Amino acid sequence: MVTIDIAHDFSRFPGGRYRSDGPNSGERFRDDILEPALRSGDAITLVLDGVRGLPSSFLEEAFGGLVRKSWSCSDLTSRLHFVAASPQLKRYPGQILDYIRTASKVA
Amino acid sequence: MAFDPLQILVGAVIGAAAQGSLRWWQYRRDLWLQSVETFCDAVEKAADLATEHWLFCKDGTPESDDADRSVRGQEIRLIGLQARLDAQLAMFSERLSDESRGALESAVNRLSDGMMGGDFGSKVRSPDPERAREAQILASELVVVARRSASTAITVGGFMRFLRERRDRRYLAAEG
Repeated sequence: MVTIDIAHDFSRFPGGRYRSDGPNSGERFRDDILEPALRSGDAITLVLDGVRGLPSSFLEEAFGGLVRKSWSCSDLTSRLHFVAASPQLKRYPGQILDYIRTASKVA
Repeated sequence: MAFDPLQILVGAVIGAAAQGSLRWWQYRRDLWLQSVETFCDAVEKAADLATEHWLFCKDGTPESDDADRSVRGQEIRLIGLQARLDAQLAMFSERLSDESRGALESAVNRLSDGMMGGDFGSKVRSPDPERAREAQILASELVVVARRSASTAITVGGFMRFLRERRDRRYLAAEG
């Protein structure tokens, strides 16, 4: 089991879609943090607590982008687990799974 | 017909307790409904800002720096408004049934995607009038879902359903 604490391991202020949009973009999070963890083959626990906002463009590129890079929807939904203890963040796991499913329908 | 003072006293205490409980319930209900309305106001405010935001472009050139800064300011305010929406949603959705909460979260996700999806946050982008329009439509849908959820929740049936689901959740949590 790999644990990724977004606020601690990446940024408290994630934002932007592509690397050209800034240092905390969804593309950088996907390529530098998520994909290496996924390649380990383990289940991944993503800790959302501590981040200050999760813009949709960031989430879509990070998670929908995994499907566009040939990760399968079923593999991702079975291996990604979320921790969102803060009530304000409870809806985000659902939104992330929506992006994965939508991207797999388009792909 | 003689009245027992003790009976009168007990009746008065029970009446006062019932009246107090009713008033307390009404106060809590009004407070909760007010939180729904505050949420709806924030939704409309966020949608208006999103519409304004998506009608402008970001050129990313030194000449357009002032205009770009204004758009960047809108992006930051939108992120702040989204955080406020999330907090307000968390405050009032805990009293909703699972079905209502699911519908509401789904509507919030759609609005969030409409406001801050696409090229949101990119250094250079064109205006997107469709996204500007979509923000208004998704906000209207969300307000309808929120008010409908609230009006269902304050009925006796809605309240009983919430209590049943809460009991089931606690039971499942205790079962591990």
